[in-house]
Amino acid sequence: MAAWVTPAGLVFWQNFKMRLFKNLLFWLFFSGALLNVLASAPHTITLDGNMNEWGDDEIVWLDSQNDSPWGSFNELYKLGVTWDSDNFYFGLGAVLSSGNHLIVYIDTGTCGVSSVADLRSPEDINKRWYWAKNNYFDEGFRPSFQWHSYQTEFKGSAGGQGLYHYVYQAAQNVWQAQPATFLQSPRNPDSDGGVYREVEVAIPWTVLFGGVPAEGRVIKIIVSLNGGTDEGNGYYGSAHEAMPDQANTFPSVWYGSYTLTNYLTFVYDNGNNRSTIARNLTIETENNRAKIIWDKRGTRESTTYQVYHSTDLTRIKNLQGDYTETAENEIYLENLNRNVTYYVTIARKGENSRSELTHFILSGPVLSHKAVTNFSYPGKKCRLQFSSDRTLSTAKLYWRSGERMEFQEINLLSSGNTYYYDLTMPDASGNLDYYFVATDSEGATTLPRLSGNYYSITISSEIILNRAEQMIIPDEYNETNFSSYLDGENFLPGDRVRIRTFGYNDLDTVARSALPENLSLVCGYEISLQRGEKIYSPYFLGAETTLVLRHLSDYNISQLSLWYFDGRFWEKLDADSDNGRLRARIKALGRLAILAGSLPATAEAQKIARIAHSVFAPARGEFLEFIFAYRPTEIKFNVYNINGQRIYSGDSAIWNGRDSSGQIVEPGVYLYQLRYDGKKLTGSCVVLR
Amino acid sequence: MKKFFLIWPILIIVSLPVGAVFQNLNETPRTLIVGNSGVARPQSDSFLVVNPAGLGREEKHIFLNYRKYLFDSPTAGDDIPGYISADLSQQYVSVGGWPLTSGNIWKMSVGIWQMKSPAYSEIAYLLGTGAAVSLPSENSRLNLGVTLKILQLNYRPDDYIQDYLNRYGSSKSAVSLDAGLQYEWRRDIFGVVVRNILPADIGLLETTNVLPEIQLGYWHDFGRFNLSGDVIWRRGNSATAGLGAELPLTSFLKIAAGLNQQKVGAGIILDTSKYSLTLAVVDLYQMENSALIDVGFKWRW
Repeated sequence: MAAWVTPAGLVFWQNFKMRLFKNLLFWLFFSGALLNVLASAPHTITLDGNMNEWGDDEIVWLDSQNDSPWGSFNELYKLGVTWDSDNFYFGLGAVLSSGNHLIVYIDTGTCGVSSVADLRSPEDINKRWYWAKNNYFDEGFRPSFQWHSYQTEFKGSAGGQGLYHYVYQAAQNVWQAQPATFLQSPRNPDSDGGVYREVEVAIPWTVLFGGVPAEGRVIKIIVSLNGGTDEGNGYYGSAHEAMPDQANTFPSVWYGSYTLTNYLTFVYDNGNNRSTIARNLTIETENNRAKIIWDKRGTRESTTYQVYHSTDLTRIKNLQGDYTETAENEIYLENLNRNVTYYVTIARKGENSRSELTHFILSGPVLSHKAVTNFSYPGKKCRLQFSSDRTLSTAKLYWRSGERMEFQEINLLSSGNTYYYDLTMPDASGNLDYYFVATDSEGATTLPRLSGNYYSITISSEIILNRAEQMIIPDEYNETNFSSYLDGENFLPGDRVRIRTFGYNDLDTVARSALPENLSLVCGYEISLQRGEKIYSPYFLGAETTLVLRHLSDYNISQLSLWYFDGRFWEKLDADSDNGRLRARIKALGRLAILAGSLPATAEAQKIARIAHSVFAPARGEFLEFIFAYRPTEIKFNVYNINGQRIYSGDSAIWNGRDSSGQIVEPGVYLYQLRYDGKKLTGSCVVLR
Repeated sequence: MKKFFLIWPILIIVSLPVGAVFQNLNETPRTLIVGNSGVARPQSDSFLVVNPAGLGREEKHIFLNYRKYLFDSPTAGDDIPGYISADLSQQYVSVGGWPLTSGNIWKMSVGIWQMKSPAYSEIAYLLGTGAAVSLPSENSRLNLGVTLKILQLNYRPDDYIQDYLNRYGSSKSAVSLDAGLQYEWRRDIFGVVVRNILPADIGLLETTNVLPEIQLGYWHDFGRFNLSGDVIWRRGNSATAGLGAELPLTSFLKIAAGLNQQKVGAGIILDTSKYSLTLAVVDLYQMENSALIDVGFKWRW
């Protein structure tokens, strides 16, 4: 314990704690990546002729065992490639018949040969080399090393086998093979052909590159199974099976000339990752996302890939940061930001060897938007807007509500780089979904960025206030920086006030028909008191209290008035307008409304404002309704079936789709005649099931 | 006369039939004039929709039919938002009378019927066949027939109400079948049709929308004039009855009139061996200032 009190001990303890903390964080957030590292932690390749210790990520090619023209006794099985700080390693599994040659061609990116047909012997520069083959290479592959074995003898550097370096002899203008240093697993004790064997070879970096290569150096490899050599007759065999698979058909004659087209590419990386696997990562950017496409490793790779993407290059190089898993060799990265560089690499799940790195930038407008999630005033306008970092060519809002599945399109208005639309919310509780699409010359951006997603607004008319000195009535977005409030005097501690906002369509027939002529409802507030478990509406206050309401309409405040509904009549309250708000002293909580307009009851005004729901489904509670611009004194309403037979008669301008006996009528076309104040209207409506 | 008066009691049945879709499909100008009493009539202008039993006796023809509902013009204002006008019409075309066998006793007809308003339409595609079967008795004959119907109704939403856009716009289809029989004996004809035999839910219409119904009809030729009377039972509704009379004025001109519980109709019929033209004017007497006219033109060859 004494050690802890010394400064050094304290520092150690603090460092230890910090490390512990960091490790813990690392475990918490990157446990996936960490497990990967542990699963294939760097290990030593033992040159024992058995590839069991090679990791999955190091087996870079698994070849078909049915693709040799010479049958199952001449098949290449697998190729492993890896490295450490000293050596480049490869391992091979193959079966060869008597007389055939196994050759690995290595292109280190230095000057190499386009054909190995005219390689000269190390012993005699004028003599064609025994191991020269009638093989040619496509552009892109120029080997300068080869390792080879007679059958699967794997003699190391004995009997002419082993690793050779092609050296250009300028005097003779020829390429000559010269032995190179390497290490190899022991000779195969069973040297006969036709038996599957594995070999492991280590080549020092000094041999291949003169030292440890710089990061990013590329090594390319082709493994080939060739016919042997008949020097007497001048026949030199050619490739008849290869890893990776080749595009050209192998020649029918064992020594026919052959061009190798395909090779495997490895990029040296001195980080944690021993074998970077070149995947030919391709990026296709579109709108808010990027499609990443890569090559499978060999023809038979079947695995889960982890696609790492981040704007932090260091993290990506260490296989940290976000990754997405997929079994395909392509994926969409969604929800990306604009105008920043993303780095991408992929790895096989369970391996720590990543592909090459690539990067991309999504160009296009950068939008910022505060999503509207709640709206408390059904039927009122809600401003949906975003700002852009630039002027846009088009800005559109897409929205839907109710049971409708399809989005409606609206062109946004603009004010500077702010784009907006005041959308009238449905006149009932429910949800409204929306998203934006903005385009400029560089492309399109959607909000939310994830394709196919949208924002959802919950439209709920209920607002709950807890007793306070001033009970702030939130605005339509449920924000309280709104200047409406109810004074808390005359309430008890613990009291809650519930406010349900309503529109014209929420009114019952009594309240609706009692509305004063020529006044229209701007916004209604049903205010009730919750005391304990009980809810009181109306609730008569012991004394007056102050209510301040801001109106939610385009009306001039001078046209607005505040009214109270007592169950039979609307009573106008003495309200004064104050800075865009209506202020009144109220005696009771209950149904209050802001009404607009004055009261000119001229004949001109005596008309039907509109007819709602002439196609309607009574079973869903819908109805046909005539909405008047004034209050008619007398209404007579008849409904007939298509044959002219009267099936309903009433004295209000609403038909709920039921006949005189109260049954919902069969779907179809119905005719109606509405009489009001000496006027008559005949029309048809459609009843749906 | 005695037989005819047997039908009178049925007429006083108090009934309240509620609508259903395709309920006008069996009406033509001639059946409208005579209060929908048509299933026994020997000269209906389209047996395909009225009683397929008559198809076996149909000559090769084209029949065109147009109906328009007449209402008093709205005085409340034409510019009311959300107002779907009462513009209702009905069209029908049938072609047929093709013999399917030698001897002209088995024949086939096809037709298309449509009722539409701006927001709504009912369409029926009709294929009917019928045979006239001779009976041993010299003065009697039996006619049999069936009509296969493909029914489709379409409606579009009330586009004033924003929320209703795309909500109900829809189309539904169904298959159904009518079968009919006529028995002729001297100056009397008895007819029966069973409509919508196939349950309509073979298609997507609900069975309660397309109601099965049975119509019985009787026709008697008094020489100077003829009378017809029909009774219809529609499932879920009480029976309705109709009566009509037809009076030939010359060899090619007839006047006719009739009624049922909803309509009073009258019309004239110009009829030669090759052409016939029927004009029906019908008053929907429970609905003030409302009527319909129905014109049919038939060309035989």
